Amino acid sequence: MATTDKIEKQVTLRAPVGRVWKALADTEEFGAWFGVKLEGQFAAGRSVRGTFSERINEAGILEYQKRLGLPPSKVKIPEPNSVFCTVVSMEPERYFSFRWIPYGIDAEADPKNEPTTLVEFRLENVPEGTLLTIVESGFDQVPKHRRERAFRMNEGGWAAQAANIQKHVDGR
Amino acid sequence: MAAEPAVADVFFALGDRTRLSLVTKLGAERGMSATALSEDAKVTRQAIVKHLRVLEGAGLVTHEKRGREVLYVLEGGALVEARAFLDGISAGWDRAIERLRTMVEEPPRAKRPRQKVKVATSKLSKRSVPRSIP
Repeated sequence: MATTDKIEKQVTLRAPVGRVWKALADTEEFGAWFGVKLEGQFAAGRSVRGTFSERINEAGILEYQKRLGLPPSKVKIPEPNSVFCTVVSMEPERYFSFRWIPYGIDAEADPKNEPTTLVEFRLENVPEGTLLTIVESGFDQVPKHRRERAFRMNEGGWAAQAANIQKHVDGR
Repeated sequence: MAAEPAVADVFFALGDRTRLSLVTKLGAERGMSATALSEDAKVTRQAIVKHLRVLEGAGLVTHEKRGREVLYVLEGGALVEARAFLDGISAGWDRAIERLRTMVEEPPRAKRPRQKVKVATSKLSKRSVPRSIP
């Protein structure tokens, strides 16, 4: 079992650093790929409010949690226009970080007293385009009863899934 | 995560144009023979049987004998599970990253790379790794 405190994702995007930066730093663009409608712009120290814009399939989530061997927990979409994240730092085309409540759509999360995780985006210029590293850390502070759920739900399963598919396609 | 490879089999099986069209046909009509399924297909009946075996291996299709005929039937359960899986991971980073990729990597490619299948008229791309959720 790897670390339980942080999730690290690294991906090479075939787009210039400037383009990727805009997709992260502009709230409208960020919201478009993340599935949230955000108010105003990101700025260091600022709390940005938002409204989840994505249809969430609770049955699917409960099924997925069951599949992962997690105690299933109902979904509770945060109130419209509640704090989505608080920006920590912004260095154009290089680094962007904010804090948020991890897996905040968990009905067992308590928005008033919930510890936050730190989400960091690092951008690096590479020949193919942009190497993007996303690190979400601080899960060890999340209350025990929902720590593993928050971690596993944010971790996603797609990387493992893609690897499985690749293995199949390569015929190994 | 013991159950995940099973879902991977489903996505792999669906990641092919011919097999996807077989699933569509079997979804519309319950119980079809390989001969009926190959009627307007661009590949031979033999190729269709091979594709049906892949679908069967992933749990998407079963077959039943009726007289001298073998009829193939769609198993909805595997599709429902695959859908639950996709919906379930939509909150995770991997899914978000794929949407970010779609947004910044423009223009989108017109055709997605296909996996390698031996088809006579194949003009398939060498790339074989799916880049986003089918």
